[in-house]
Formats: sequence, C-alpha cells, structure tokens
Amino acid sequence: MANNRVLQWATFARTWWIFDANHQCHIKSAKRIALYLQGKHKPIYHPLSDIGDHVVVINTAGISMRNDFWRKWKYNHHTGYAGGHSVTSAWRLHELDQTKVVEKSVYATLPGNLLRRRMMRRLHLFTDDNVPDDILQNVTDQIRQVTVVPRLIQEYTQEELDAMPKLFDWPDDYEIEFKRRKEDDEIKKYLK
Amino acid sequence: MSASIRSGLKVVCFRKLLIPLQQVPSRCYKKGLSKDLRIQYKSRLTVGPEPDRHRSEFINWNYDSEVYSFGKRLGEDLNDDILKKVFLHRSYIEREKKKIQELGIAVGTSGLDVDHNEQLAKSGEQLASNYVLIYLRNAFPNYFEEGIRSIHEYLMSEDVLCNIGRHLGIPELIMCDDFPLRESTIVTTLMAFIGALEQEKGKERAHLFVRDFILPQLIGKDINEMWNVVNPMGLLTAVLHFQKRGLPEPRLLWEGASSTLMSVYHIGIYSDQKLIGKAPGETAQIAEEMAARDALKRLCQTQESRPALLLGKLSENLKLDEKKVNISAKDIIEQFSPKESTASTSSKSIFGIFKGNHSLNKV
Repeated sequence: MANNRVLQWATFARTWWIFDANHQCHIKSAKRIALYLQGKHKPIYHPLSDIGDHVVVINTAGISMRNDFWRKWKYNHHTGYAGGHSVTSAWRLHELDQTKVVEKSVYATLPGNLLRRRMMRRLHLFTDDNVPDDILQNVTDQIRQVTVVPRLIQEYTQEELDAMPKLFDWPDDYEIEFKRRKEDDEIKKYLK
Repeated sequence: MSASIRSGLKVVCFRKLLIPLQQVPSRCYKKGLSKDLRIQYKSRLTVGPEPDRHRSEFINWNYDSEVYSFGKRLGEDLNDDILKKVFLHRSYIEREKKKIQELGIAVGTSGLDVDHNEQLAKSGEQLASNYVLIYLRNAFPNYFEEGIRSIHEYLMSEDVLCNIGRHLGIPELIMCDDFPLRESTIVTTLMAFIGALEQEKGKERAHLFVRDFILPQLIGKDINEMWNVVNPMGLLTAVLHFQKRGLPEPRLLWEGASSTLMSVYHIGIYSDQKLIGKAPGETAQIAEEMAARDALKRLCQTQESRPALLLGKLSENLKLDEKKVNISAKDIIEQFSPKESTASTSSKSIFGIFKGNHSLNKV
C-alpha cells in the first residue's frame, strides 16, 4: 500500500506560505492569513482537526492603517491587579514591537478554541524581508496580498514626474516625504 | 432520622395507590435473580464456550430442501442429483463405508457407490482459472502478463474463494468428514459447483457464474499492488526503450517543508520532454520510485482513473479474445539488455526487478 501511504502523506503535508505585509491593512491581512493557519483552503478541512499550514509574514514593519487609525486604534491591557489597566495607541505599540499589531489581529481573528495557540505557533513574523534560510527554504508558495501596493512618489523618476500634468507647485517648506517622529526619551525607555 | 424514613415510606405507599388497576405489579423483589446470573456466568467460564456444531445437529434441518433452495437462490435450475453430488466429498463416503463395514454389512448393498465431487471440482477450477485469465487479459490489454498472473493468483487464492463460498451458504451443505471445515473444502465445493454448471448448462453459463461471483472481488482493490515490482525505474527504462521513446528523466516538480521532519517532494518523470508520471513522497528517492510506478501505471493503462470493469449487465454482449496473450515484462527487459541476460549473476542485473518468479510455462 505504498501508493496510498504516499498520497496520504501528500494530503496531510503542511505547506509553508509567505505573505508580504508591506502596505497591507493588518485586519484584512489577518482574515486571509487565518484561513491558511486553520487549513480552511483545504478540501479536508474540519474545525476539530489540526491541519493548518505555516505562514511566514515579512515586512510587518510596513503595515498600513487607513484614516487616522494609527492614532485612534487602541489596545487595552489589564495586568489583573488593581489599577493595572492600560491603553496603548496603535502607533505606540508598533513602535515598541513592529510584529505585535499583526500578531494581535491574527490572534483575534482565529477561533477561540484549544487549537488557537498551536495555530499561532505556525505564524512566523518578521519585521523586514531578512528571513533565516532554514525558514525560507520551507516556503513553497505565496499568499496574494489584500491590497495593491501603492507606488510612492519617491519611486517615480524625474522624467515621469516632469511628464505628469501639474496644477500647482508645493510650497518650498512642504515635506512630501514620510518622516518618522524623532525618538524621544520616553520611547527609548520602553525600547530598552 | 427515623421520622424522615417514616415520611418517605408514607410517600411510597401513597404512590402505590396511584398505579392504575389494570397493571399487574411485580409480586416479588426477585432476590435470587442476580445470584443465579452470577452462578451461570461463572459456570460458563469454567466450562468454556459451547462447541461449534453442524447445522444438521439442530432441529428443523431438511437437507433436501436446503440443497434445492441453494440452487434456486443462485438462479441456477440444476437437478437435485447433481447438486447433491457437488456437496459430497470423498472423505464423507469413506467414513460412511467404514461405519458400515464395522457393522458387518457388505458395502456393495449399502448404496454408497456414489460419485464424489473431485472430478467436478477439477473441471470447474480449470474453467474458472482459464476464464479469469482470459477476462483479465482483455480487460487490461496493455498490462504485463506477469501482472495479469498476479491478479489471477489473488482471485483464485484460497482466502478469496473461501470467502465467496461462505457468503453463498456453501459450508452448511457440505458432506465431509472434518468439522469445523477446512478452507480448502469450501473452495473445492465452490469449484465443483462451477464444474456442475459447465456439465449441465454449458460453458457459457459457467462463465457467467465466474463473472458474477469471482471477478467482482476485484472491485475496490488496487491491482497495481498485487504485482510487486522491486525496481520500477529499471522496468520503465526497458519499456520506454521497447517503445522507442526517450529514456526517463526524473525532475523535481515541487517541494515543501524541506528542512522539517514533515517534508514532501513531488517528482515528475519526463520522456522526450513530456510528463509521463508524477508522485509525492517523504523523500526525493521515495517520490522518484513512486513516480516511476505511476508512469508504469499510465503506460499500462491501469491507473486509478481507468474505466470500471465491465461486469453485470454491462458485460452481456462482451466479446473476449480467448487467444490473447499480453506482453511479458521479462521479454522487454531481455530485449533491453541482451548481454546481461547471459551474465545474470551480476548484482546490477536488471533481472533483479521481480520478486516472484513467474514462469510462462505454468499455464
């Protein structure tokens, strides 16, 4: 029955997927990643069977949020002790740990059963695209991104910019490029 | 405490009054029942299980009507004499003769000079075996002769035939010396029935019986696993050479989780830049071997997606070529490497491909 054994092996093998989170909404991404972690894309799916795949998420530092959500989206935490409640803005959490926002949204998307922790262990998060070789060589396929990555103004060549119709000129002191806030002492304290 | 018990009793008594008058209540508490059951259970353990007894030792056994209905059940209109002969074994006649001799009666006057079923069984087995081979060769025209013989061996094996016989209700009708029955006795009786059909109703009717009862045992079975090919890649190379096609080239199609314990490799085999077979495996070597097997299956047209066997109503107008003989894998390999056939002692000899020695002289 060697043939049946091999077919079964191939059916239950865990595939490794890669997902580029650059310029992706973390909530929509989490919905898509959770499908693969649960194995819902497989015909043999059953909520009680542990047949989910591995997902490697790269560029979690580059996730995006629409409108003012970096400032308005809050993460609550309670230590369990009196006065232990804390509220952290998304931007603040992202500065403390650049994989945390994706991790939290995937965790929240997965069903709250006993398999959740095991499925989370198959989620490999990396802030940039430097992935260790022993993880990268397992990867077979990629998950399609949820939104089209926009082309930044810095990526246009001068010729393309010149050819583009221009209605007005920006003032000289207007900063088009995205700049990070300067790290103040308070954030440095958390980073250590 | 006592007050609460008393009040409880009161309630019980009150409830008894509520029982409708038509219902007869239990008149006792059956105090001895559990004890009796325990004794019965323990004595059964010491005595052991009841011995198997033939159905004829029980009441309501009418051998004549059982034999008659056996023929009717199978839809075969045989007369009772031949049917009884089918179930009569040599050992039974010998035993009865011995009994009569012990009683001092002359054997000639006892009416025991009847025929046993050995001759029928012999002709029946020959017919069934022959028909199975012819049917398989026509059903799998591109499969190797060695493979056909392996399937035939499976179908005519004692296990399969005995299973058929048991489900047809043969064991209870058999007249023989040994009880419980040996498997070979059931097989002999089944073959004798086929022989009787051939004798009474003709070959075609007997063929129909084989097609309806023996061949369907292949349904749901993997026929490719019945013939054990040790070196599938060697055989594939020889077959492609025989067909004047390019030699097989294994290529890695897909690999996953390769640095973990649960790695999976999919390997495809190409010939003349065409994919002729692919299979998964735990390692690349296993996948390559399985891919070679897959390619062989496709070449022989015995893959899982092949059309189903023509049985039952579909096979009513089936025309079988009785003289057909399939191509032998051994011949193909000899053509591929004529030099090695003379020096078969070398370890790299391609004759190491087969485990079983299927010689064509057998049948």
